[in-house]
Amino acid sequence: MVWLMILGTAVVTFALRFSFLGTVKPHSLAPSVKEALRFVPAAVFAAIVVPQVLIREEAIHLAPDNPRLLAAIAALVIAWVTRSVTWTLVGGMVALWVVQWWIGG
Amino acid sequence: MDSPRERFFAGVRAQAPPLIGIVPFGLVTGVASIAAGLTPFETLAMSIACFSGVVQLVSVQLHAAGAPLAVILATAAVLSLRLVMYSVGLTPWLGSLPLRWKLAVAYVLTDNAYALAVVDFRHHPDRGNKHWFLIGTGAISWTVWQISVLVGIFVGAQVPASWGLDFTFALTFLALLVAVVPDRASAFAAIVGGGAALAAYFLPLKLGLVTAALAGIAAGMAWHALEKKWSG
Repeated sequence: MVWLMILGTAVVTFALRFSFLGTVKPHSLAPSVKEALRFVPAAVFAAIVVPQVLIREEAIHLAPDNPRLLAAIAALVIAWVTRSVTWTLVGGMVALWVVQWWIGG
Repeated sequence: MDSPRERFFAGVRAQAPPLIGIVPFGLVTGVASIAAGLTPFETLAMSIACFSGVVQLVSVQLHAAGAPLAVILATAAVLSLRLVMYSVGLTPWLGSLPLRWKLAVAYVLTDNAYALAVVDFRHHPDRGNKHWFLIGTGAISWTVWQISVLVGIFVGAQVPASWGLDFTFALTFLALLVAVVPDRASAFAAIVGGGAALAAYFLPLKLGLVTAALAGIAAGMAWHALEKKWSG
């Protein structure tokens, strides 16, 4: 079962990564497809981040006592100002620890 | 200037800052895999075979919860759908490469690598050897990822959960998000994508992420179309 899972997830993941790179030629992409692609990273990254921050224990937690919400707002400002993954991570984690200590204290 | 060597190390340098996010994410993945009942060897084998933190982390959690294989594979496919989008996104630049290079680039294609490559390729559209940039990002992130998972397997369980190391996952994507929002249409795509992800979170089979991503893309296109209409 474990080895079937490993093999299966590996095949699925690689097949999807390879999909278009392996088959579609650049000049055959329609302008509307290229237009849609422009918005993929913004839409996908936001769709990954928001539940990570706002879903706690399988419920939406949109209130100032959610430490991850406050830390994420701080990290967003840091990311905007510094444009740096490193500083966003460091600042976001410090913000999380400070807020957790404050709320828990 | 555009030699394979120069492009390879440009990729390595670009990938260096995000490594700080890969390390804790790898630790968390190693810990979760062992907690789910995988042996250290199975955990490392899965990490090399998949090379996708999101797929590894969610799959072993489903496995631990007793989910059937079909559900695990369906979830892995849905989580990896964004990789199809990346694959499409790189095709204009890399679609004419020989097969062996496409296989290599596909194997090391990650969120980080895609975000970095898109920025580099857009700023320097006429540079050659673009695939070597991705081989560079892939070489360093693959090595650091596997070491981090190994450390997670053997010592990660001693890190207290209250440190919230798993939050680094969200922070990494937050930093990537800010980097890919150059205009209002993209910002609108992000707002709708994020909001829809929350609304659709409780859809079965983790379909919420895909639904939200498609909603965000549609929103961005709609905004762009309206902007053109108003200005024209």
